[in-house]
Amino acid sequence: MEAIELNEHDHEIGGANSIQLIAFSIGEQAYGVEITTVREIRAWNGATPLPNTKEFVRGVVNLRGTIVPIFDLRARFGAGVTEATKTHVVVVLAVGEKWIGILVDAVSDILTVQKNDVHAVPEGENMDSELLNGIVTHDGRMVGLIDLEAVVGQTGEEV
Amino acid sequence: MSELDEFKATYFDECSELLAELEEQFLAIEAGDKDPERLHAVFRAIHSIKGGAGAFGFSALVSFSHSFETLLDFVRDGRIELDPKVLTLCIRSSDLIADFVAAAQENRELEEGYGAEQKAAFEALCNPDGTAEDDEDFDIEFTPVMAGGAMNVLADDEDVFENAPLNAGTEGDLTAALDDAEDDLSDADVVFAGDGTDGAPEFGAAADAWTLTFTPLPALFERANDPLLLFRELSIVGDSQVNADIREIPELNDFEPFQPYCQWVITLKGDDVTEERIREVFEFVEGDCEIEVTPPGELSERQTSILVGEIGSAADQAVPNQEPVAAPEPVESIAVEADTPSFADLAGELGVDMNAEPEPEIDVEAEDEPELEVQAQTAPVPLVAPVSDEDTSAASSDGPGGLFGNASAKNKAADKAPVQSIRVDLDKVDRVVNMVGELVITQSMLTQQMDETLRDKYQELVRGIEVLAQTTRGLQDSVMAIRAQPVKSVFSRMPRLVRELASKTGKKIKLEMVGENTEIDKTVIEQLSDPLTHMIRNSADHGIETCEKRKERRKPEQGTITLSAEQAGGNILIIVEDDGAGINRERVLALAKEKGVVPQDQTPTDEQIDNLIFAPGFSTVTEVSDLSGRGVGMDVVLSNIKKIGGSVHVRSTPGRGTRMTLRLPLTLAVLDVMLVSVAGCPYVVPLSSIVETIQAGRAEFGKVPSGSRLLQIRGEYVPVVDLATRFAMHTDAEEKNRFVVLCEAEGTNKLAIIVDEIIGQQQVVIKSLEENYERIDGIAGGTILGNGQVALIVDVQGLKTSRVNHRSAAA
Repeated sequence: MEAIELNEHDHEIGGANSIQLIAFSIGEQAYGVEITTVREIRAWNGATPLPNTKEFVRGVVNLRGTIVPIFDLRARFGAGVTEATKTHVVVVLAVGEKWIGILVDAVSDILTVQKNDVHAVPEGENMDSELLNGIVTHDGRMVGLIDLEAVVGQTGEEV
Repeated sequence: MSELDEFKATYFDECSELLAELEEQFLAIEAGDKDPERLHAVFRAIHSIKGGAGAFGFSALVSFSHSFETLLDFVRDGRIELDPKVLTLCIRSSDLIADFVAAAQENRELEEGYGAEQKAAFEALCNPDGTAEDDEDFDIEFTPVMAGGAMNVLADDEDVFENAPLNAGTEGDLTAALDDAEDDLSDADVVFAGDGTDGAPEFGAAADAWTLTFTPLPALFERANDPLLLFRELSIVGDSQVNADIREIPELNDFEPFQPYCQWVITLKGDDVTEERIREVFEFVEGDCEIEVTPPGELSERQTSILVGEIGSAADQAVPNQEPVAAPEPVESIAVEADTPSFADLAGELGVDMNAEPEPEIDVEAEDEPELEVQAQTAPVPLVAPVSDEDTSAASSDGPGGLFGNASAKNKAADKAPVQSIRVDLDKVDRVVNMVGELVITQSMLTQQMDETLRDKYQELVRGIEVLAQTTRGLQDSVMAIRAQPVKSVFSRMPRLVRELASKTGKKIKLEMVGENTEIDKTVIEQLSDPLTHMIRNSADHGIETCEKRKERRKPEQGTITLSAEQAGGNILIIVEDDGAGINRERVLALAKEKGVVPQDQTPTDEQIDNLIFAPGFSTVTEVSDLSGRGVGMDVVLSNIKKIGGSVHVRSTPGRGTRMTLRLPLTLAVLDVMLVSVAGCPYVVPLSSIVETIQAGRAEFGKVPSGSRLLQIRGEYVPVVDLATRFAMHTDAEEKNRFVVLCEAEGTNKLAIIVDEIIGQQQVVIKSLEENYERIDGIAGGTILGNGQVALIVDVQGLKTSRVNHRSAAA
């Protein structure tokens, strides 16, 4: 992603060298997606479960006449299925041509970070480097940048 | 998509229409319709295909269609008789044209020499003496008394317009057409410099010849007519000499490829030339052109002026398209005015002509005349101004004739009031269809919300909702009508298939079609082609017997397959019926038992046996033929038809024939469904596939060794799929309170689906799951219920096939 592109000496907020993120949390951990991909944030209001599909796909919801699948990010990370309540949040995103929703615990903030503050994901677990694009630090806390293509992309392989 | 691609796409769209037209016309001709208009239509279609192909550089297609056109031309003017042999060749060739078009569309090459056999046949027919005839010379050879040069102008000018019919619709191939035009112009210059003067004395002394002026209007080219063909026809009436007036051809920059710029003065010599015969030639383009005919020895002022102007200008404008004739400097325009007899004069003369010689197609109302004069005077040099306004540009580019022509064309249009149509992107229509679908559902939801107390309390509201319901229905019907197309577009491909089948099997088969104009949703039509092909193939291959057998059975030697379409309520019935041998039930049953489709000890009814032919992998013909019998086919029919929410039913009388009925929904956008729930989740089952619903507590089940259950119903055993198990969901519903939904309306492949609860019937709009996600096994799509919840559509066919797969995997 272009987030990794390095360019120094530009500290203007919202400038070409900074990116804006929507930060959300899953458990204690904060993650972010680029704000430009976000279409809508809505409260969890149940979804129609899909049979014969991956565990982390919670089902489909109606978004003004189109059917949008909801991915449970916690389950995607292998940390078990989220017990969703009305306080949980669905972030609707555009990934390529498709619209998807991701189920997260809460949306916390909009962050502006400098592109050169984005760290690469350290080598190690395959899953981490696969699902994350990079890591940024905000207020001393780590925020993982979600690679949306990776979250969604693999669903086509099964069945 | 680049612009060129768009033009190409439009061209191929048109090709498919033209090819359908070809099929239709040949079908009628084959059936004995001798109307020459049919042949003309064929000719036009081939010509249009060729024109576009030329513009896009599909050279194989151009060359083949050109030869074909040549043959058709011979047939059209009677030099070759359209006997069955020639007709067969023509029909076969139109099939080849279809192949060429398909190849061009898919951007692939056909093998070298494809169609060469037919091409050779054309040449042999057109040229029985064997004298080598160059295609290019053809034009000259059959227009005998043409001054060679002038004829070239014609031949080449034809090319300018050749593309016009296509272009008129697409505005495409502008560049190509302009290129052509450029060539033509340069050709024309060369020719005209000399020939105009050569021809002059002859025209002046036209004592023994009829003279006619022919001025095409834009409509002539829009309707795919070709002046050259008319001239050829004229040359049969008498010895003709054709002179083209090309003064109106503007500079390339201002050249409108769709405009007719030429007019022609033709002299006709011959003993039996009469005005009537001349007019007969032009009968076909009446109203699309202006014709003035003067008997020998006479020359109307207009004709004189054209001839004089032409000769004068030919001398002056030796290189007209390089000379800045159209440059907007006043000096130049004066030069032109002086050169030609001035437009105002011409217009005046024309007015006189018309009063003297009232011709039907030049029917200008009195109030048009002053207007004309004003225009002619205020715009003395129409050549100069590249006018953007359509009407004026037509008028100016056509010269005076065009002005009148326009008026008459308008009058004509008012008389005929032709059906107008626009091309609309299907996506746009679909969007409207979807919205209307939503509207229908919202409306029905509102209606459902109206309980008795509300009804008493808010009578006005209730009335409003009733009106809303009516309007919505009306809107839905109208929108569906937009998508509806006559089944003709699919039916028209079938005669070709039957011909091929007949020739391959050596049987005599005739295809009768009924109700081709029945309209059905476009999506349904698209899905119909394959199943119909299979069904007809099946009828021809398995149904109709060989000639000998038919004789033995005292049937007419020629078998008949009837293809019919009719509307029955909310469905369309498509029936394929043959008068062949009928289904060999013994064989079918034996095979079914052998393949395990039917248990050994069971005795299905005749009807059930007949419908066994739709079972997957089923084929009674032991020998695999080229046509059918590979064991795929009829089950494909079933699955395709199921996919679009239809059903198939077959009924056969041994020795008398087989009748297969496709029942199809009128539209795919709105589906009638049964809403059910499984483990608290809503599912819908298409109503068209439900036979009945039974309370599970009252149903009789039997168990088979694999552990799965069979539903016993009226002596039949039907496999059972428990949706909760199948979809791996946990249900708390008590078994006896659950419901069995018996699916598959017709055919033997029934399936019992067990659900927790049946909620009710309703209409839904089908939504794609794949749009944002992916296909899911056992689910045909999704839909949104009145409360905004998403319900999944159960894919009955899919459940069944995956059941079969499970079984075969286990075996």
